[in-house]
Amino acid sequence: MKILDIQHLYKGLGGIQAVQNCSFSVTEGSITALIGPNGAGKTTMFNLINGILHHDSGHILYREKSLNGLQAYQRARLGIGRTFQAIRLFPEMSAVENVMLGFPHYQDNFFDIFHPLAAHERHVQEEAMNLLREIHLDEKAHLPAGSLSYGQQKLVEIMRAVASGADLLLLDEPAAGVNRTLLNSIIALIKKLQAQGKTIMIVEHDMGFVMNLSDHVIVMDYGKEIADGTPKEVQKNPKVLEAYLGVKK
Amino acid sequence: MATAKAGAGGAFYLLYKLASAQNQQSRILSLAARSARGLAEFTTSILICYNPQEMQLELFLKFVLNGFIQGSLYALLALGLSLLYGVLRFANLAHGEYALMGSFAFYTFYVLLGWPLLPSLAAGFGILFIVTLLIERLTFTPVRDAPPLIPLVISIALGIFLKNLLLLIFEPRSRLITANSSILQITDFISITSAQINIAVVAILLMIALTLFLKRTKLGKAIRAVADDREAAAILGIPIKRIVTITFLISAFLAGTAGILAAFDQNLHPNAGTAFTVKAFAAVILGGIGSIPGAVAGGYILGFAENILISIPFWGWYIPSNYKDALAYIILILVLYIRPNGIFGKSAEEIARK
Amino acid sequence: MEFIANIIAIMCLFALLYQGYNLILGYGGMLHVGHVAFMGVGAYVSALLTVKAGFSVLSGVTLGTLATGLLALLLAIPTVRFREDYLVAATLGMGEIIRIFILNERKLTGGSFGIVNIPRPAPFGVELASNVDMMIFLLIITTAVMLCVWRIVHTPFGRSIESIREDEIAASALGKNVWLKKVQILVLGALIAGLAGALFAHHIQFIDPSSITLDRMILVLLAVMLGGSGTFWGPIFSTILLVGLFEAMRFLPIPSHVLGPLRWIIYAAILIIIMIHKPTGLLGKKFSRKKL
Repeated sequence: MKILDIQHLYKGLGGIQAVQNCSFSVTEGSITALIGPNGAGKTTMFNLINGILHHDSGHILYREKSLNGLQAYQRARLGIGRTFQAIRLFPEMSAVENVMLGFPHYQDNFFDIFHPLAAHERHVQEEAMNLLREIHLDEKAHLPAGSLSYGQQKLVEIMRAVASGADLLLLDEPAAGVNRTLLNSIIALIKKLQAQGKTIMIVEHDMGFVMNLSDHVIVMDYGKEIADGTPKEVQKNPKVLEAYLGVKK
Repeated sequence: MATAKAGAGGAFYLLYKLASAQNQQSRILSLAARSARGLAEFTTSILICYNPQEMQLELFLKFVLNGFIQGSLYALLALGLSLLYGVLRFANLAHGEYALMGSFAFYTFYVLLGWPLLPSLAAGFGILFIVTLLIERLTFTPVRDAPPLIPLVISIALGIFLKNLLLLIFEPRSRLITANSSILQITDFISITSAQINIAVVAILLMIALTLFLKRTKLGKAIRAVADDREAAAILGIPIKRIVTITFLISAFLAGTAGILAAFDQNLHPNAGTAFTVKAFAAVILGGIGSIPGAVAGGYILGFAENILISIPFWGWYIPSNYKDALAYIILILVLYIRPNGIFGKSAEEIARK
Repeated sequence: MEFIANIIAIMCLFALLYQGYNLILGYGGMLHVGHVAFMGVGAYVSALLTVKAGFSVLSGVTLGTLATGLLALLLAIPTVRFREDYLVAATLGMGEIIRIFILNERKLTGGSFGIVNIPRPAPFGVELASNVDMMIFLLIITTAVMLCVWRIVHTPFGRSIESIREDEIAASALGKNVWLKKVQILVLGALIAGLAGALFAHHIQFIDPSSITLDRMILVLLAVMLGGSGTFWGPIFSTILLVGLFEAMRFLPIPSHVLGPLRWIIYAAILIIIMIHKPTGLLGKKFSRKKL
């Protein structure tokens, strides 16, 4: 079943067409990679899916429902989670607080202040600790998120998105700047999330990471989508080679 | 009525055509844009509010003239603010106080010490530049890389600091420099003082000079480069810190000139700085933030609007003139809500919203 | 004793005002410079209702506070989305419009002369004529309000507001309705300011537009920044410091027409120094800003 369907999407930014007539779909439960040279429009595509930017024309269908006009927080509540290229944790809050804030049932609305909270908060904290335990960061749970190492922060950011109950996770460069060991942890985490039934979309530059991990690869260049298929198909695609290496056949 | 409507329609068409032609960066086009815009504003005001039975045309024209003079002043103020904003991405909320500093410094030499005109100007600007440099070195350089909240708060605090400093030094009275202000009668009702002519002439000359400076000189191009893309400019070897300082000084110079010109025409009270700042802000936002011709256009529109709206009866009721300042603030707020990118500005999504 | 009681009473009022602003700027991250206008609205509405329309002080204060809240709601709905410099411009404009309106509508508001003979509160029929009585009354109210603020700040709601201040984009990607929460915290801060304003009017029994100037706003900014924006105790600490400082300055042999501008020069200078060297304030928490 297609969890995400992009149809003829256009977005102009600062005088150029950041996304031009892109169309592709993502199958539920798959790991899909969105790759392309720098400036191809990949992060813009994520911003459009997640609602931080609004598209000029075209359709974005999530579970066959149009996301037109929905704001970022509404899309998040529908099940779209996101991590960012430059880590966007709340640096002054502890790791566990960051994850707790992800839970939709955290009762952080204004009128919730009138409810008795201590037990509920402990429960949410326990759930957050469980998630942190999965990435072996439960000892560091109460440290400010900004004090964790870069790789650790990336893991926490992913778990925070998981906490929000997202079925579709948009991971923007999860492997960037991460050492070998942590990279393996991230790969293991992504596979575990897939096993739990989640759909994962990854923007990445690291080809090895992408080709080994993904079921489906979409290649973008200059805002257009130039290839769409399995990793093997895409690797042989002459347009892709041209885009990355400038090689013409 | 019909001809006026056609005229306004034509003028607006011309205006928007010119606005989109802004990219061609032609001096003539931007000057023409300014005049077209003025004309459009003029005719629109007539269309909206002019009630032939109640309104005397001559009185109306008098306010139009005042609007043009006032607009020149606001355009000058807006220009300084916009330039600084373009280069530093920083809204100087003490801009009005810089204008006042210039005028009070000049006043000290010209009136209190009785120096002749040119040395007074030199000394006045000299003091203004020294103070600007001090402010830049001591308060803005240390927070160059801080989150934008901090320089903003600092500029608010600076405004208050400077304003009260002026109050302390000069006592809370209004001042007017009345020397050599001859009056030119145009008709029975409409007159214009030489001070007002000066405002318009000097302002327009300065605007032209600034435009030429930015487009033709090496330094001007360097400033535009930094405003466009700071990192690229740095890579090209442009000395960013020096450009920033120079921009500060130019901005202060424009503000100071506006202040001195105004001092010959109006009573200036140390408290007038806030009004200047907000009006400059309104003009910049009206014209579109990040656009130099926009700032000028915004200044003139504001000047006209202020004067014309005061003089027009709205179904028999006149806006009390005490509310003149408030008009600028209301215009500011309306523009921010309705069209935050202004007339010549960039897309709203990129600029005003987060 | 009356003198000291008055000082403590004034401290309570300012503590409320500053804490309200702390909610808006410190927790909500919104640099809005119309806070003293909020206070003014609360003060004027309550004063007018009690002096000119014969309402009881209780009704006056309640309605004054609610009026401020309503105004804040109207202001907030379009403005909370603005970027910081636009927000400053818009709220600056708004504050000035309110002040100009009060200054000019002499028949309604007394213009620059203000409103005099505002009655002291009279709970259960007992008028709080002495400063000591007012002090106790205000201490009770202030403590109650502060307890509420403490409660609010230490709930998930408070935490989510802080997350919005730290990173709006991330917060919205987690499903937080950023706009709504900002409106809520702005209205909350404004309600407290309105309450402080109304009580202020009934305490010193006089109100005039000079309390709504931009100078006064600097004092509010200073108070929140000095103590540490985003901390609960920061504003309370600043209040004690600043009111103490002001009262001490009164005893210096400086003529009053010098003292006026000098106060603001000192406050502005302290604020600038704090922003450069210790923006987290004396008790502070860092605040960070991420751009898209």
